[in-house]
Amino acid sequence: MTAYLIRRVINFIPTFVLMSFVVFLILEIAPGDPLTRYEQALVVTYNYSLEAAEARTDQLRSLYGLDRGFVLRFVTWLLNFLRGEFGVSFNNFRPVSDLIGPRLLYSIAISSSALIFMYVVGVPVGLWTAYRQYGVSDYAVSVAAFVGLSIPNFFLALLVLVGLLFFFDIPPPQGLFSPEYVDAPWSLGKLLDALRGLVLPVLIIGTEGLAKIVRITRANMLDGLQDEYVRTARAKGLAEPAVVLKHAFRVAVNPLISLFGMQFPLILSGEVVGSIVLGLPTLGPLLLESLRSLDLYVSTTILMVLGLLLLIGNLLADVLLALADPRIRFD
Amino acid sequence: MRRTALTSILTLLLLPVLASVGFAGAAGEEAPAPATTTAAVEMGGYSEAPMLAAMVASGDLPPVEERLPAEPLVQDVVDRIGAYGGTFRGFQLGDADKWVLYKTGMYGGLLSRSYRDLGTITANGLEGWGEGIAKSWEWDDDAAGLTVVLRAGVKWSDGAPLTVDDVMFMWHDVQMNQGFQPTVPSRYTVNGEPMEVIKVDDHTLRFEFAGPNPWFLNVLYGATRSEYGQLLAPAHYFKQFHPDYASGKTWEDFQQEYGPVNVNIPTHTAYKLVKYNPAEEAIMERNPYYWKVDPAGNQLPYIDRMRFQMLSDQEAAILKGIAGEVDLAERNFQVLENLPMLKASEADGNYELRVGIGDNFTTGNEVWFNYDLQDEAYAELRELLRTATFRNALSVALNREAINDLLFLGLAKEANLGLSTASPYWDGEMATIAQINAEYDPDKARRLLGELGLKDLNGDGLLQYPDGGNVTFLLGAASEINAHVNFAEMVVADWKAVGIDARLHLQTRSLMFSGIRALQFHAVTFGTTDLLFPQFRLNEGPIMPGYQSPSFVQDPPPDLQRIWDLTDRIITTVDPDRVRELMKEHQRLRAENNLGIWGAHDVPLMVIVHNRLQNVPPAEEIVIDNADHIPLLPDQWFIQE
Repeated sequence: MTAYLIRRVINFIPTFVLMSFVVFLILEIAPGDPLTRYEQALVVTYNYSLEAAEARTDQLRSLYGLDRGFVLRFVTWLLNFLRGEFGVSFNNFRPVSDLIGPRLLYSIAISSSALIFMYVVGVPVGLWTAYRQYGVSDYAVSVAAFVGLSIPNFFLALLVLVGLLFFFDIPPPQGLFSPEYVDAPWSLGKLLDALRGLVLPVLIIGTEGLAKIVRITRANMLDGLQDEYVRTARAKGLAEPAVVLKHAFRVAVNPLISLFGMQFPLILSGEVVGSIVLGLPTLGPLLLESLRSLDLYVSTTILMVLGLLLLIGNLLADVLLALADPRIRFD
Repeated sequence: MRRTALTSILTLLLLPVLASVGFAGAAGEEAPAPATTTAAVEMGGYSEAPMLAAMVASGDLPPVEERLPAEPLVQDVVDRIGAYGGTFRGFQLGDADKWVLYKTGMYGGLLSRSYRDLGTITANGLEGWGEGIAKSWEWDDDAAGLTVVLRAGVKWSDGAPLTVDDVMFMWHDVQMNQGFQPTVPSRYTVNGEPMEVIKVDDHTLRFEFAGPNPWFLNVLYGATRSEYGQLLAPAHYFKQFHPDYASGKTWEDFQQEYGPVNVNIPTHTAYKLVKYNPAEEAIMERNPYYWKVDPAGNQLPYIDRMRFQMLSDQEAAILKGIAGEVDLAERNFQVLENLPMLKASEADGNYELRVGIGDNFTTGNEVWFNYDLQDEAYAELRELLRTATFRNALSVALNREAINDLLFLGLAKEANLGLSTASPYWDGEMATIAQINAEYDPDKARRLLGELGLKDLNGDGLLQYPDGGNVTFLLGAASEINAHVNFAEMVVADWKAVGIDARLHLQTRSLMFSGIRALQFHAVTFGTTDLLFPQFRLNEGPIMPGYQSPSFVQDPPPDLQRIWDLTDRIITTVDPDRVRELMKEHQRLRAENNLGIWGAHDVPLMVIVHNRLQNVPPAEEIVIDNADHIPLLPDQWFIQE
């Protein structure tokens, strides 16, 4: 097990370096320059002449090392990143960490809640529908799951917002908290408020994954329930819950864990797109804004953070899989 | 029955939430305290907000008489003496919109410019400005020198004295410092020479120029506002980060502090930023050292704090307005198609929709051309763009009536000039100039294009150059600004109708401006501001045809060169009548040669004012300049529930 873990962690390093190179390269080849917007602001907002604005912007370019070569910039940036220095936002010259810090927490809260929601609801429902195959509940859940799988979450978000407004006269929420709690210190009230604010995004972002988990649990259980060892277990006279949960489900669990690794990127990108539609204060809207304004270090840092979360999620899935299935860790 | 049960369960579950809401409300909002209404100024006593009085009582703050200057600025109130307290509710559209904080709460500098001043500033810019930290000023006869006297005893929000040394520091150690910027901005130069700033005594400054510089008060107004901080910033604070004063500090450190949303910088404005979280909200609180009082001697501002919630887009802002959750909205609120809905929801939302005049860049509708196109593949187009006949054809091809009806609900005025009818340069003759090339005449457009040798050679309805290629033409628009995109779509359709292969080219604003800077664009649509006083903005707006200024257009066509020459004369002429004549000549040349095309002017501005917000100028007096709430005098607004 230890050897397996070490192998996985060592694999992590080249993947990380490759990922950071790709992130940096993609933003490098995008047209435009992070200080173009600042130069325009100098002219439009500060009434600089174009010459003076260009001179001042060039000065800033050399101050922040933007005029150096690609390789040098990449290496400097990567080393700084590893030290926790993410650079500045060219929008207001404050450290990127100031911008990302408060949003990262929300992103993680929403993504992990969505993951928990998917598994906690999806697995029992899948079990139940498999156990009651071709029953009314099975048909109803199957139809719902296919609908859930087919609707992209940004569209679902729009449908929900429009539905809430038209049928219940509830205006779209802006942010996670009600206005009176935004600035309040943490309290039970604020916690409940946050949980209430989480319901909508978690439902919207988790729906697709939930549908998938229901389908996969059901399919695996159906396979398992027809296997001979299940018949043997029943023949032994074991109680039905023990047959289903201890024997059939134990085998059906593997694909669900692998799915965890595959679902994680979908949840993260779903969170980015969903949050933009829902106007949540997470990393998603900031990523969009920074890409639009070519705010280089904000974009790279967010992409790197999302990428890191993904790598960690995959690592976690591998470890869980190894724990659940001895065949893998001794491979 | 079931429903009742469900409701009771929900109520039980929500009880803690409801209880804490009530509690937060009780703790957060003290009832507005009535301010003194006697003529305390004459009696020599001043009143202050209860939140400050409490700090004085506990010894955290000196008494109000010591915080105010010897002669505080007495601010006229719009309607009546106000009451202290409350929180103003505004919104901000993401980090890029941080200027709204400065344009509502953190404003004010050496001079001021209220909605009343906007009507009194003279055509040459010399007179009509309101006092600020400067108590008085005097021009030399030739307008090449200016003496400014600062109010004695004004303090920064941390209590440190504000003196001419703060200006001297920003000028000599920052603006003129090669480490900060290699070129002095041209607003501080006359005839290529940087101005001279001289300290006469602790409260008196001299500005000397290499020639007449009558619009310098406008520069001084802008450069001493806190968002610009170019000529007035707390020297005692910035010296801690200045490489020449603090060892081990770099210009990078200085730049980080100099950024616009730093809660640590002491300020001279009515409010001070106390929290800035670009994901949630920005909060400003009153500056205990603010140097203005109302006519009854109450220290301003009346409102304790201002809260700006971060919203994702303009539609969200409109929804908040309709719900009555915004006290005043104008900036980033001009989605005109919502006007009927906003009007219909006035009673429900407990607000009043006031339609004002002025200018706002999001409703702007101007086509900018490239007069010096740097692209070999478009050599023929380059010649066309430099020809007035071609641009005139594009102008008369526009159906301005349809544009006004569809985009501005018919409330704007169709014109080929941006200048506002509220501008001091507006008169009957200017009204005639505004209609030059503004008629809708597609036949004339086709005839003019034919005169240029463009013919439909293959019968596809599009015109071709003599060598057979289509007159392909990209009209850019910033994809994130819906109003500009809508305008551009209509323009492209009208141009197609007269045979130009016009295409809409959507780009983000940053990319579009990169193209403009590199002279690699054909035409773009953009908004224009400063339609009252074109001199306020020399790079665009009614003065400069679409950003095409001498500093980067290498080879201007003769008419553009004439615009530049006229602009130089307008901003250096002291005789107001002569300035008016020159402005007419300038605007006539723009309209006749279509150096830029306008669709309409006097686009109405929607301002919603919540009924609890008092002392906001009435609709007929609202003038908004450059999406700026300052002329509406926020420091004397107050809240009455």
